[in-house]
Amino acid sequence: MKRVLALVLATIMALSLVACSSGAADNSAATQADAQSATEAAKAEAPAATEAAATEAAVPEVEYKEEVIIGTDTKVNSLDIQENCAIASGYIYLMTHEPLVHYYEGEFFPKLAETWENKDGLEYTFHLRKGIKFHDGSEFSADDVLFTIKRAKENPTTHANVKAFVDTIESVTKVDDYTVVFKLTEVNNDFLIDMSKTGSLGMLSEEACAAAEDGYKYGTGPWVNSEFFAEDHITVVRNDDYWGELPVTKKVTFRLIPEASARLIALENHEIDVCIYPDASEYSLVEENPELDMFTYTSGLNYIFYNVDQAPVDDPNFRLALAYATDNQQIIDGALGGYGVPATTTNSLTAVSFFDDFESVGQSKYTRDLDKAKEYLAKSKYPNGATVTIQFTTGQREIISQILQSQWKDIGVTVELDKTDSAGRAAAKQEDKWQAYLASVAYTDAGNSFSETFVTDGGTNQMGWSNARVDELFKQCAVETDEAKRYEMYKEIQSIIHEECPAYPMYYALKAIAYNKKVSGVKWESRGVMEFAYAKVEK
Amino acid sequence: MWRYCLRRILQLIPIIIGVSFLIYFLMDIAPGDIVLLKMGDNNMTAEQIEALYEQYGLNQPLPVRYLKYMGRLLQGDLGISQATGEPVMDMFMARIGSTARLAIASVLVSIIISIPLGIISAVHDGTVIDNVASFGTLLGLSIPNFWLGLVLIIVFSLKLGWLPSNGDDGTIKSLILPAITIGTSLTAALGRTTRSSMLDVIHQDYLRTVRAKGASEKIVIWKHALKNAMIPILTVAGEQFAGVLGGSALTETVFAWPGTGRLLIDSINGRDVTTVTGLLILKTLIGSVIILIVDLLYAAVDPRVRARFANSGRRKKK
Repeated sequence: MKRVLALVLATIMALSLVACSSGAADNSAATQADAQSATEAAKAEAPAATEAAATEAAVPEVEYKEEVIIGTDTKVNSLDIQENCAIASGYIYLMTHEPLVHYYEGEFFPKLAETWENKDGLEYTFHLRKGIKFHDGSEFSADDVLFTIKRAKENPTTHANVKAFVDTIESVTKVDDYTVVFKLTEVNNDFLIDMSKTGSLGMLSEEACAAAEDGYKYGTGPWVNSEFFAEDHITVVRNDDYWGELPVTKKVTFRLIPEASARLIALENHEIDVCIYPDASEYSLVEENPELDMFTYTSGLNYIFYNVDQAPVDDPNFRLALAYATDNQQIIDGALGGYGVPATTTNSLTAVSFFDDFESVGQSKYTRDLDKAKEYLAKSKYPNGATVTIQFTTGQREIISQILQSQWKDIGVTVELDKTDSAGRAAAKQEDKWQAYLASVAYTDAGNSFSETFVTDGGTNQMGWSNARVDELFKQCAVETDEAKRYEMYKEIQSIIHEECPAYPMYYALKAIAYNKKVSGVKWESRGVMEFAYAKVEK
Repeated sequence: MWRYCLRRILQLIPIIIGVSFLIYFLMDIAPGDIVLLKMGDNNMTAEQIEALYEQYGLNQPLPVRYLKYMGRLLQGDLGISQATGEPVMDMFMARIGSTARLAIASVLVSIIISIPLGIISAVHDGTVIDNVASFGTLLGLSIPNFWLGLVLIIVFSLKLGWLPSNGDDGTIKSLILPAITIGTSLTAALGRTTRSSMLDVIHQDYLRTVRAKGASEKIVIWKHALKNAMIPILTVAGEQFAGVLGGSALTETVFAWPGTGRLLIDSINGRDVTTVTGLLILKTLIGSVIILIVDLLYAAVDPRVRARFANSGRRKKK
């Protein structure tokens, strides 16, 4: 028995010895590798550096790290760019895939198409860039454009937003290997913006998709998908054959650190260079840290969606009573720690179609006004109040529901909370068994972007709401070229929605991306997606 | 002994049938399914939905799906994950390394802390020392893993900069904090078992004999008493090991540890029936095998058990 005990102890000791020594060995190996690759990098950069020195004399040379590490909060389930519209996956798609045109801050830039022209808003001709290669080696040509659109139309797992857009394309025809013509079913003023979305319309290689089931992971961008381990990390490496400007960094890793505090600590601890979405309660930690900086922006619009087929929220007057019983600022202070912007209308703050001056059209803004709320309640089918069940999925929305519970109690409306998960929500929606649901929608700046929530059967029209006039106006907006006339129609749309309140706008969340000050080259894209293609970190 | 092992392994068959059916059934009555999730908040046409149900084989009734699954399982095929399209076995193998290392390290931490504490408690039964030691192990159990993990990260990564705050880079360094987090939560059970098991033997006659022989107290406790108290301790440690090997989602989340626990939770949230069933079957299998090994270890530590094996050719109740 002594022997067994001795053996166990010896094993433990041996293990700990091995542990220590292997740790040390790994460390030294790592530093060696670092040093080696650094010299390699220095050699590789040497010609470029001399060139730079020739043109811009005496600029002190800044050295950059080989790898940029980005801590993310959301798991990316698939690299199929047509299947997934989530912001988290957008980061990666923007680096690996490219659309025909690029849209940035209101302007269009050539990407895989060098030039394009538009005939009467219904026909777009794109002249494609020649000599572009996909990451698998296949050559980019008109056939790939045809294939990309065809796949988006036919693949059953294509995301509904993507599907809705490609369905407005009547046909794509190949004129020659480097010219394609898009015919639209109707005029769409936002067509080029929609075409520029990498998250959906990055070009795929027909050859690669035919050769392998995961052929969709090959794009033409400056970065090549390298490692995909959804629960841990996704790595892209530099595409040295890229046709455009080569990034300085050689490798970008997206590390999934699901816990917000742990993610921020990793940033403070220099284990990652960028921390996506630190928790709002910890923004002050970033502000206090001299090494870190933060980029904040208003993101998706958070709604209370009402199921307009279900009593008691089927009555517009009842919904308006709830609207005037709600205090958005209190929600922001109570549930978001003050990090939010109260919403006044059902549109993106930065959209060209934004309108919230309801007084000018004889309406009033939604503000907490209990007298008005009671007035609407008295006019409704439920003058004595009713019970509303609010469905939600996250802890933060649970707090919001509790705040709504106390606010609505003041007009005699009882709130029941229904916490579920995404699958439970999906089932409730399918069976039409829900009354109110808290969710956010991220719109682009395109004028018609918010139509997805309010046209009949729109992609995010959860409410089952349908208004013939609104449908008609959105259609006209898409084809109207006179900006002033177009804006008048957007005003009318938002005023109708305001009057019926199928979805109540609560707030725009203030999101943040924290990063080490040594990081540069990150570009802001719409919807809160950052472009990391040219991100670099000073050594 | 071989007959005994064979019998235990055969007993696994009904267990696995039961486990897999239960999971299939429970996942079926849980609200929502993978198709609805893929739809998300978007509207799809009826044909699109139908096509997706067919793609995932969900258009068939539960018994048919279950029997098909079992048919494949019999051939050793755990199926393809509905969420990712990867074979479940590959997904498991990609993560089990991290999970196993964490499990071994956690149980080691638990053993290193709780066995000495348990022995000290037993030796000083009823005194202040006993109370302090018991309090210590209980504290480990009571502190939530989530909180302890974050505190350890703040102290040892952020303030002291000694250890990485997250991830598994294959080194012992990255293992230390998560192992301490899980290990301390295991100390209460193991410490208490050690204490009561030691108390059982500490007052027995043979120990008085040893003492009478003039052996030092150290020898009495560490050699003669602990050896005899070992079986319950071994059982608890083995069960703990099997448990942690199943993955620990909370700790894995805090430390961004790419283990099986998070995969399981993600798969449940994603209603990925194939992956959930596959993972739990593997977990059952591994757990059972570990407990079998522990049972066999009894014979190694306890000559009385060995003697019984030798006498009857099979193990009797102790």
